[in-house]
Amino acid sequence: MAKLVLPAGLLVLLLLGGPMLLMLRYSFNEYDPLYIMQQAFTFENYAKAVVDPYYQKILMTTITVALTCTVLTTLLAYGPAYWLARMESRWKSKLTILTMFPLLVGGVVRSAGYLALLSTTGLINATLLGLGIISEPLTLLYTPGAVIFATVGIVLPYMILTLASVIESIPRQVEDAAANLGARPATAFFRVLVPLSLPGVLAGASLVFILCMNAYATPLLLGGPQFQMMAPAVYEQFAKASNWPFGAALAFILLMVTVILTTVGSSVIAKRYKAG
Amino acid sequence: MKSLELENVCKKFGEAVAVTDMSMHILTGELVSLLGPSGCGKTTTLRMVAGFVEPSSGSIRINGRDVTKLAPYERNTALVFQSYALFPHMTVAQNVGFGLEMRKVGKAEREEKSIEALKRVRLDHLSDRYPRQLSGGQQQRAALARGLVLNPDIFLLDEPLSNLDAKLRGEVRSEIRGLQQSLELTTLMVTHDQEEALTMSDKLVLMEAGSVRQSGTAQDLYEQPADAFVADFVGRSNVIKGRIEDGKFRTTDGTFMPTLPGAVADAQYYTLRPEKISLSREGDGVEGTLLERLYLGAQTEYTVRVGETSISVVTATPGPDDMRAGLRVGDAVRLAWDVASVRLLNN
Repeated sequence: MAKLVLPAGLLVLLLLGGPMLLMLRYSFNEYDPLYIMQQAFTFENYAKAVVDPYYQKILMTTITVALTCTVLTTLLAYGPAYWLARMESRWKSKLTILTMFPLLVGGVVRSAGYLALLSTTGLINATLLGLGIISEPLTLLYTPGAVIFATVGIVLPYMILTLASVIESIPRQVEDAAANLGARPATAFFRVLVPLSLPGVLAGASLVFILCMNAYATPLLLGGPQFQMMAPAVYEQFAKASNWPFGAALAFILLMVTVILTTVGSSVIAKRYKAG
Repeated sequence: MKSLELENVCKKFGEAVAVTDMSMHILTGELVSLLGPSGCGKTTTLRMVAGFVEPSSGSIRINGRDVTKLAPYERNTALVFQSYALFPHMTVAQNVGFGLEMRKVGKAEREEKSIEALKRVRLDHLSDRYPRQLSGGQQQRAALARGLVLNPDIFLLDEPLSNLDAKLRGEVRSEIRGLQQSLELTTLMVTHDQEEALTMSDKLVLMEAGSVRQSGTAQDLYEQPADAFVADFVGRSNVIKGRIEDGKFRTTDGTFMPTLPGAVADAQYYTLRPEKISLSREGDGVEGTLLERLYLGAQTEYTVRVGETSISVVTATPGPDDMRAGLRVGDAVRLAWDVASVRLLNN
């Protein structure tokens, strides 16, 4: 059976493990304006990223946006996921495909679309101005709200599909049993459906949180110059400042924070709801 | 006093009629079975009583109160699901206590009552287990306890034995019946298994294609079937098509069958239970050819061809000295029966 894992395993080792180890090594190097970096073993890059208020703010913004998006996405996705999972009509498979449809359009293209929607001369402002509802265009673009709105739109299908597959595996009779035993719909939802769909919620939320933490195109295009998130900041260090050691350190901080928050968050939620 | 009444209940799903004009009445402590082939509307009827399906017309009353429009959680019924539907994330005790919790019963009383209910089904020693740690039979007893503990107005059983292996079935059958009788549970059971229905019920309601074909005691249905469908579904029956000619029943292939004088002139079916027929090598009776012999242990089943008609005969397996012991397929045999055990039916 081990043979089955080999090709994919080698690929991951080569294309993911290798570069990551390389990056990890770089993050301990010293920056050199001339040669990009010097071999060294220093924690200076990490120290700088952790102490500098500028990067602290970027990290906090990233976490806040990612958490907000995850919570919003979970709340928004549960209803459609449940509806899709319990659907019996012949439209079910077609609707499942339709849910995946937005994934066919890449994040960059979609963000460009949101640009056209939200800008001062965009669709929303033009409509509202045309109808005389507002006299000055609203500032919709280059706000945290725009980034959150766009990110939720992008990650929603992942959440819906993950949740739907888990809800589908919960026998409907279990819900019927709760109602038969006297549970009102809200009680049945929180006491039976939520605990039983928890694996799906956690898997979906982890996936979405990771995607949001690493969001690149959306914050860059819709957040404006004042709005900074981690992934663009990492890119900036590599591509513009040519400070590879510091960029690598930022990347590893982003990775570690994402891993820690995902595992801690999952286990806390699991503990909170698992007990009947 | 507890009771369940259905009055002219109909259910349509779009154009499809699931249940037509269903009326019945269950009294305190009675166990009534809804019996019928799959798709006959028995499960829909049960789900209407529990409140999961709203009737298209007609009314349902529990203890005299009209519950037709009430949600499942507003009715005091306890449904034991075919799949048991235990909550997998709760222990047996938590499962059993769930309904009491919904009724705002305090923790101490809840635990006391749960244990009491679990004792009734001999499962109190497993109260801390999770459903996946129980065998199928234990899961079912937990599901029973979860319903019992609520002292429901109506106890609803959906195919209670279908998920158990054959050996356990007989045991569970008498256990459920025993509980139902000792606690005087007013019970509606759905089953497609006639043996289950015959042995467990006070009354049976036989359904087919959404409507009631006959209701009554097991004996009523077995001995006085209203029509050929009932005769064949409850127990087994040879149902032979034909018509009355000169006061005698003549099968479609022309064989005259022994008939009591004064037979109903419009009879179309000659029905006869396989066990009412005696089979011999020679002597009096209808002539036939042995087509098949099935050894079932204590009993032997013969299929005999009479004219164009196949007739099933079930007898105690003949001993070694019996003349019938050596019968082979193709042998000529004689069939005889008491004409009084024949039922002529006109539909």
